[in-house]
Amino acid sequence: MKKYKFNRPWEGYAFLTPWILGFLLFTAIPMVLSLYFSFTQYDVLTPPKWVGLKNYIDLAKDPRVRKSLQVTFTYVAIGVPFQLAFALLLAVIFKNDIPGIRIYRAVYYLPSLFGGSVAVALLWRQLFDQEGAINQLLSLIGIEGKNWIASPDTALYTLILLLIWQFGSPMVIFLGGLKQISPDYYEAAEIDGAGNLATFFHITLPLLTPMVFFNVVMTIINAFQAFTPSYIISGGTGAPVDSTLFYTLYLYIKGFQQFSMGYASALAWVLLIIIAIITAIMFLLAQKWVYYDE
Amino acid sequence: MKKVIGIVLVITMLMSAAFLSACSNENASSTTSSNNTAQSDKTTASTGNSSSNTSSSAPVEIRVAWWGDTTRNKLYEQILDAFETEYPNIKTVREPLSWTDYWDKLTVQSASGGAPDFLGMHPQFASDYVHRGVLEPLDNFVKDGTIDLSNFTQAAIDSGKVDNTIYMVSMGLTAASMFVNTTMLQELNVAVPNFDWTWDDLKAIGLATRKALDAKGEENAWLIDDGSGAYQLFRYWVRQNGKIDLYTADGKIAYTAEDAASWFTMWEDLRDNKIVPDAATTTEYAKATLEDSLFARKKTAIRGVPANQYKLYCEALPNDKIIMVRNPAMVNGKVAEYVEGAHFAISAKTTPEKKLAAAKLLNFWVNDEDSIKLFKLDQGVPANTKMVEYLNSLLDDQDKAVVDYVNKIASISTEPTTFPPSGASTVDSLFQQIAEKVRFGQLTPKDAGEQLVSQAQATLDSNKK
Repeated sequence: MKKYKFNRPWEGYAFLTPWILGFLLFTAIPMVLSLYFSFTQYDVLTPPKWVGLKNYIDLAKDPRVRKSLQVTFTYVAIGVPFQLAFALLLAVIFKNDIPGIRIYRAVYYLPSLFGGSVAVALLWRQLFDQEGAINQLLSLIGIEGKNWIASPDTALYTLILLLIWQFGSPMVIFLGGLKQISPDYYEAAEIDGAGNLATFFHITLPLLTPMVFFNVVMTIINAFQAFTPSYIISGGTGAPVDSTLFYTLYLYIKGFQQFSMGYASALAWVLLIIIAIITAIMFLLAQKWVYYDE
Repeated sequence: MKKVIGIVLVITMLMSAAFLSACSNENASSTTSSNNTAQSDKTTASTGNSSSNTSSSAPVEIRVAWWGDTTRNKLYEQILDAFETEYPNIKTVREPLSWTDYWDKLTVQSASGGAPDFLGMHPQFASDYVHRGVLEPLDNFVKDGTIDLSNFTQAAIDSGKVDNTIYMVSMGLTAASMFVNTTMLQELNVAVPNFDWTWDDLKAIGLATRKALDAKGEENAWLIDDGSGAYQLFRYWVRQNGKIDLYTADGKIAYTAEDAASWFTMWEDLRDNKIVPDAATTTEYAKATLEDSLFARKKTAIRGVPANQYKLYCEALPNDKIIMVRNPAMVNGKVAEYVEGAHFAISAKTTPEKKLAAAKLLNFWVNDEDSIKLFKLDQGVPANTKMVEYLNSLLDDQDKAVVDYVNKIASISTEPTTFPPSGASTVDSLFQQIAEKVRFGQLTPKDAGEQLVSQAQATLDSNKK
């Protein structure tokens, strides 16, 4: 029998070149450049001027940076747990073979496909404003709704709701994880007389922890980078009164509306560091609660 | 066989990689562009090749951008078509946008070196763009006659100068005005403001309107929009209070914290009396189009609009009579009125052939009869005085009303204005943000005034080169 030895590695690399080029041009090189720009004052139309750590120092003192971090952290801290809770709940419900289960799964998955799009954000804005569908529904049961989008105390929550609505993709991952759990465990539990709730908390959830971990990390990273909903719903300004000023939106305003590209680059790198730290913490903690069924 | 297929595939991969990197470079103008590059949607939006035969000059394609709504877009398309008929070797690629989107897009385009060749420009923002090298100085084109300004008044020519060089040419002169829906006010039995009304009149009429609206049970209707965040209206207040303009001639903030505090206090009072909408409604309608605005829906009776848009608003409310009055005056204050215009400019970062083509378009637009008879008063009264005469026979009543209004304002505009310095647009957004905080009760007018002045001055300082 002829042994197939792969001794032409250059073919592999050749096939990779489109991706490598894309990675270099659109990711790696821009990242290095933005690191450089973060130490300059750069309005994009005239050459950059080196200013050292000035951008980072200004950033630490900027009240709008603090506000945007507060907004973004609130968004992540409330949105992510609720989104994943819904995802998990529905995955457990959809695990069973109810008639029409495929349709339900598809329908609930759909929002996460286009939820981050401009069209949906525009729609969401319409839904929640003074004469939108939500208020019309509320008036049917006699509640007079306020202008959810334009009030500083509720605007962010409409965005959080939009995030929660996109629970479809974590749900699909949970479904996959649920299917992997060997039925032996459930049989054993049933024999021992465990009820549904106990089964869930003592068998399902622990065995699902790898999926939970994956979803938590991915969702947090994505939520920190959210931009489109905030931009569309606030009209590009973080209105009203910066209550929807996501960190990325402030970055955009600084870089593209106020010609401070150096400052914006510094903002970007700070965001990277924040996300990296949080992810590292998650990985460290993971050893405590994630159970890998080896 | 496998080896041959392998080699063919590898070569295809390498070629596609090379093709992609070639296409991501600039100047992909009339060649077919791949979809992967960021440039492609800006350069060749047109149906491919630049146009036809005749004429000694080589075919040129220029990108033309302006702000407006659908009615204006149709009009401008006609003007551009007329231009292309007269200059068959120049093809125009049209890029219209709404006012707010226009400036957002322009900053991004300028940042990436892709500003349109022929672009609408406004005195409010011109300084920023001039100081960043985006606009082409036009003095040479004027000297050699490509752009003929011989029939322009000196004031009109000066309105397009920054630092004593001509950077833009005015296509229409206009002035700020308040549109009043007299039909709506008469239905409420409220007195209609007269041309020289004051801020005190505004409050009095507002209270009467509120009473009448409440009597009819209409709580979601008001007299006028909340103008506390309108920096250009604040400009009137500042000038009425004796300051030269928003900015001094050497580019510093000319108003004081007291000017701003009194402004915000006045609007807070109007808000408390429900003469203007509450903060949430104002935010909701901040980006509304003409058709969706409170005024067009008859939820407000007065709206501040540049006079040249008179016709558009009349068409939006065909069953109501709308008149133009000036911005409220201040009792014992100075006369703040001035005339301004909308202009066209040429991008500095493009080829000389395109600059020349754009200059020809500009000349055509403001001087050619074919253009003027379509354009009429769309952005205001044409700066070319001969053209205004030519137009007189073509104007209808609404247009004549606009010409009269602008002339009236011009006759009382005795005080000079100053040009906004670099960073002015950032100060404008800053003003809007602070006004919004006051609206939502997060800042007192006094604190707002102090914050505004210190932060605005800091912004200007950081923008000095």
